[in-house]
Amino acid sequence: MDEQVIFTTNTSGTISSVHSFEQVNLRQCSTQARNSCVRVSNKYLFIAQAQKALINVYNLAGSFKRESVEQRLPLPEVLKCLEVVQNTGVQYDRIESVSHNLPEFNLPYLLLGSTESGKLYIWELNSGALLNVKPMAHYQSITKIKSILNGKYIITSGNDSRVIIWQTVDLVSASNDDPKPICILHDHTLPVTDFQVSSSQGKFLSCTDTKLFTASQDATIRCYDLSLIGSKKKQEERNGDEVGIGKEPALLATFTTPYAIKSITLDPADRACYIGTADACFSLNLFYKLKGNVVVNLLQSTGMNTIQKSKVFSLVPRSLVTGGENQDSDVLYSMGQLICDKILNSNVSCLEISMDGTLLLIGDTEGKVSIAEIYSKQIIRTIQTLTTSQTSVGEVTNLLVSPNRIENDNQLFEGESKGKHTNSNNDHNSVKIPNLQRVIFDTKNKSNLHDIWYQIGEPETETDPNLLLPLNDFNAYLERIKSQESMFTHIGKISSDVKVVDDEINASLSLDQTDKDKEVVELKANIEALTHAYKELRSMHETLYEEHQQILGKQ
Amino acid sequence: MSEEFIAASTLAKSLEFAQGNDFHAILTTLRSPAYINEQLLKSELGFLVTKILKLLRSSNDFDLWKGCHTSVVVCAYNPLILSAHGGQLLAAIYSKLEQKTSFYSSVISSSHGKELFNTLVSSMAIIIDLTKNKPTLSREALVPKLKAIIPTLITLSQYEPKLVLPVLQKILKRNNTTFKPFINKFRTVLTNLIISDYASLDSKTQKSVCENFAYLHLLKIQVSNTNDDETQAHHKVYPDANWRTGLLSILSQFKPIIQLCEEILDFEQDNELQKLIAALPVNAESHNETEFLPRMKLDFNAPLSLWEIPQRLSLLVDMLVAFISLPTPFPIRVPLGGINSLCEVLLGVSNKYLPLKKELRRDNELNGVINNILPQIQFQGIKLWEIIVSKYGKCGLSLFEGILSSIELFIPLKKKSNNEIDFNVVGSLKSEFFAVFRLINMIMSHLGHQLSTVSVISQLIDVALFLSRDKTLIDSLFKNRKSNTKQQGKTKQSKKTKNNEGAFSDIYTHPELFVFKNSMSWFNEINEFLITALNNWILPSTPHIQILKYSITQSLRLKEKFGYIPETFVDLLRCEVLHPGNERVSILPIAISLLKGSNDDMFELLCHPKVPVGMVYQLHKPLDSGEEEEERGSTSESETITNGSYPHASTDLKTFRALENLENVSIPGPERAVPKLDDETAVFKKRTVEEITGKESGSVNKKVKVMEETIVEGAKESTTEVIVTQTETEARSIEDSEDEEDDEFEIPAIELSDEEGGDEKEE
Repeated sequence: MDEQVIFTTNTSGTISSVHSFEQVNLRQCSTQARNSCVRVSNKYLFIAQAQKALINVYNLAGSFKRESVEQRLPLPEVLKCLEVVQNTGVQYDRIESVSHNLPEFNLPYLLLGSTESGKLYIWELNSGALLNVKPMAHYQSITKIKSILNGKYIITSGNDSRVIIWQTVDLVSASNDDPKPICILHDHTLPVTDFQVSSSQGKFLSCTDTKLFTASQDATIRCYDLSLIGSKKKQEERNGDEVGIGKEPALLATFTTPYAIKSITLDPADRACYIGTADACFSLNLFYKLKGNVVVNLLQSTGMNTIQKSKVFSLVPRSLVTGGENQDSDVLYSMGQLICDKILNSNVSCLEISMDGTLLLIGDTEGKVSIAEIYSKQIIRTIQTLTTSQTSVGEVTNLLVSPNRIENDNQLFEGESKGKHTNSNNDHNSVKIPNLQRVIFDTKNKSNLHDIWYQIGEPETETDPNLLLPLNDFNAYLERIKSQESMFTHIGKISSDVKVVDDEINASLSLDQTDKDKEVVELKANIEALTHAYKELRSMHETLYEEHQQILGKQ
Repeated sequence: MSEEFIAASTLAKSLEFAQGNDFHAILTTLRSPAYINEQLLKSELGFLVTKILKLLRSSNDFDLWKGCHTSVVVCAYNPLILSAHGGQLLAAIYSKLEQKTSFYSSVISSSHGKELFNTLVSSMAIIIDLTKNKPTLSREALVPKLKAIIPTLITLSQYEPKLVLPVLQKILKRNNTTFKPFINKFRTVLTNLIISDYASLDSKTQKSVCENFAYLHLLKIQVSNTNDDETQAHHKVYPDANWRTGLLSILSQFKPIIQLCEEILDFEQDNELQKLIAALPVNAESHNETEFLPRMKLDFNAPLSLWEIPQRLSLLVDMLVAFISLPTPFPIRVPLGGINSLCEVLLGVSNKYLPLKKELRRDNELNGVINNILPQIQFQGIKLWEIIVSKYGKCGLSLFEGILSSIELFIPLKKKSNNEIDFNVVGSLKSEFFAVFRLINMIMSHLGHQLSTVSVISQLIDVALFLSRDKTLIDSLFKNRKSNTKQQGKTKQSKKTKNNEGAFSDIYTHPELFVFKNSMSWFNEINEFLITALNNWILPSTPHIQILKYSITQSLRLKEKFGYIPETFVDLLRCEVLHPGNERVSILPIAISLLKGSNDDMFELLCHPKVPVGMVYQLHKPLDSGEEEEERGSTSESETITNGSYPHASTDLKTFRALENLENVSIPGPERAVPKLDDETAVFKKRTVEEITGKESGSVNKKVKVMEETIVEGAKESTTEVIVTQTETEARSIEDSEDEEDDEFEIPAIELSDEEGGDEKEE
């Protein structure tokens, strides 16, 4: 196991890994905006190119395929941010309760892209159809798109200092020409640069305490509770109308910092958040420890059905605290100040956290990624783009970390690698990702067949019990043998099938009789021959004996 | 080493006469990896294989049967035998199968004939399966034999479709080039099965007939170079071209049948539906080739002949489903939009909003049949959607809202009423509604909480609750009886009728035996639907309380029956606790008393809230230890550690120690646990905090902490670790919460005494 790090800078793209020193350059890769790179179903990497209306598709699977561009998807416009909505849950067939393997050709459902002007494009990847274009989704450029809760909702943030939550179905629905967002958050006063949603999300938006952290150039981080139904009461009281569903996530807390915030990332279990600014990278424990053993949950909501004033905290770097008067964290806390630790002094552009929440990956404006241990705040390693050119590669625009399995199943044996096998498959059957359309797909036109490219995977288990391999379940196989054997051996020997047995006996009897007859004849013949021979011998013996006697008498 | 297992030759010898347990024991022993030994291959295993071959060639059916199973087990567990002799064994089995097939009728007449075929076919299939993906083996052993095997299997499939079709399906999918010469023969067999015997096959076989039919289209159309048409030359031939032709030809056969329904229902009332029907795909190409189904004979004078419409639709849907749900070696193009509009049309064939044709309205019998078949026609659409949603998931997202509003058409309404659900009809459509709920559940897992059509959900909740009641089969009988007795009371002829009722006595004395109970799978599906509904919307009071009632009574009933509450009911109870809706009273206590003793984690958490374990630890440079103990009465701090006052001071040793430590803590001195990086006497502190919450007289609630501090010397890193094992969170009641707007929530420590959470707030 290792963790793969993919990062792009203004002029380069690199695949590396956290723990090993393998490193690969992506060819012909240049990015302009942050969040312009998205990993697609463990196999592809989509990167929206700078100043070109083009998405470069790289193949991440296969050992040597990463470097070159596998496919280029032309676009109607230059895109800034990308995001996909995965098509999850289809591999389990509910009706027959069978799991299917992932097919060779599996694509996410949607590809979302945003333009400089705040336009949102929505493509269906399986057909390439442009399902919808939402002009002016944001009034200025969109900075990040993210789908949450299994793709049920989509969150976008923009330079217009708004964060918008959409319902995915509204964006693609045929009946909905002009989709309206579920809610718009406009608490920030300057462009929203980044946002993060808790990694663990419930099944429904209503019952989770999923948190949304938004970071902005106005030097604040705001944390919202995304459980929308829960805030219904508040809605009613505020607006006085009888909506069944609350429309606004509750603002739980606001954190102010001395610097404009460029990036934010969360501990996988929401225990801490890490804040990237132009000056340094800070960490903030969300379970904030006061003096003694008191720990404050900074994001504690008072529960449903209540009105809550959001808390406002200001973050103070620890270094500044020590330099100042002798102040206690309790005292600071009582004044609404939180001490936060500085992890690294650098001009941060992207942040990402490792799987176990102990390593922080910090991409900076000089185009290098530093891996720092959070506990000791030491830099463990720095990854830089492999380049010979003297010019700067620009700032890090995207930083993706994902665990990947190095051991594949074939490593049990030192045989040929798996890549070879899939290669040969690819040659025959690989289908390119359908080209992205420029014209909005007409869902109203019912005579349109709306073709999608799709492949269904092989079922995991054999469904027919007759064809079950004994390897998988020998006992079941033995059971089948037993049940079949009973048909042959007539259990209890009181078989009602007397007739068949009779037939067999008759047959054998008749067979015997003819045999016997033959045998008798044969035996008789034998005996005759033997007695004849015996008589002959005996007569010979007798004559010889007589001769002998005579000779003896003479002597 | 080699002595420790039974020699293969011994097993082989005893194999000949083995029976029952001995035979099973031999098979079990043969699985041993000890026999996978190349040194044994020539001698021992060779002997074993010879014995097996002898069994396979014997004329005795039982020996043959034994031989089949032994060869399967040996091939499966012993790669050596599979590679060396797999082909031989396969050939032996096949030749027997061929022989038996040619005497099909005589073989099948004996009692074990069917089993024999079963064994032969399945062991052959298993050995074929074992050779798959093994390049040399399948090239050398399998493919040459397939040319002979396939025609035999096709012949046999006419008699034993259930047995043979799954095997043929596998071969067809995997070796479709080898299959190519036999495609036409197989197609005839399948068409025959579809046309004449389809109804008498069980649904599993029906499915595999359709699947085989679909797999016939796997063969790629060869690009013919002879075609000099320049305009065609640049058209790319997709691998799925043949498949697509098959799919579209099935899809196009729906339209004429739906147009037949126009004779029953007055489609002219609904323009949208007419447009939809007009837009259904038709096959522009010649009809001769694709339309192999016989024409339907429908006659309004013989109303039962109308039954053929849903039957035919069902057949077509089955075939379409095969085309869109089978795993294929290459991606296929699926006309999702076309299938969706077909479903919409099928759902639209309803007398809910469309009137019957005028001329048909008088005939009662005809009307009865029509009322009967319309839901069945609609149900075909639901079946198709179910497949789409389960196989294609989010790809159908843009259609989902349309599906929801179409499903509304399926819910039967009372005639001339204001949207009242006709529960009698609902009762008769129970299995169909099961599919509807399954479909809805699948759809809802992709949608958010804001829908344009919520009315269908509330209707479905009613239906769900109605159908989840136990249904007595004699309900209607009693209703009729009542009216009868009334009349009888008037006419005073009761004596005569009583004589006839002897046989009915069970009905009156034990009516509970005629109750139709719901299965667990039904409850599971319904519960999931209710959970989704509760999670996504705040329901009006009436259905909400009905759901509560349903869940509580059913949970209790099932608990009495099984001794535990099934999982989905627990989930439903959880969800009801988490979403009280408009109700003021939580059912948490009810749920917990129901689940008493079942140790549910979720409810445990709800009663004793916890904080996630483990914090993120960081080294930080030592502060200039200004951490003095300060009383912060003004800052709404309830957790301040009070130094002196111990209202509940006890003589307990623990308390004493804790008290000592507390005092240590309060004094800023060298013992202070403020860690310094360069401090050699690095201290690893582990504290457990015990808290006694005391409710003091007066308005001020004081909390006293008793701390236990253990100091572990010599730890490398200096850090302070706080173990917060337990805490109380918001077990607060609503009335409390209003007072606590500004109160940041503290996480105190372990062992909440039995005081209420509200103590914590401060005035």
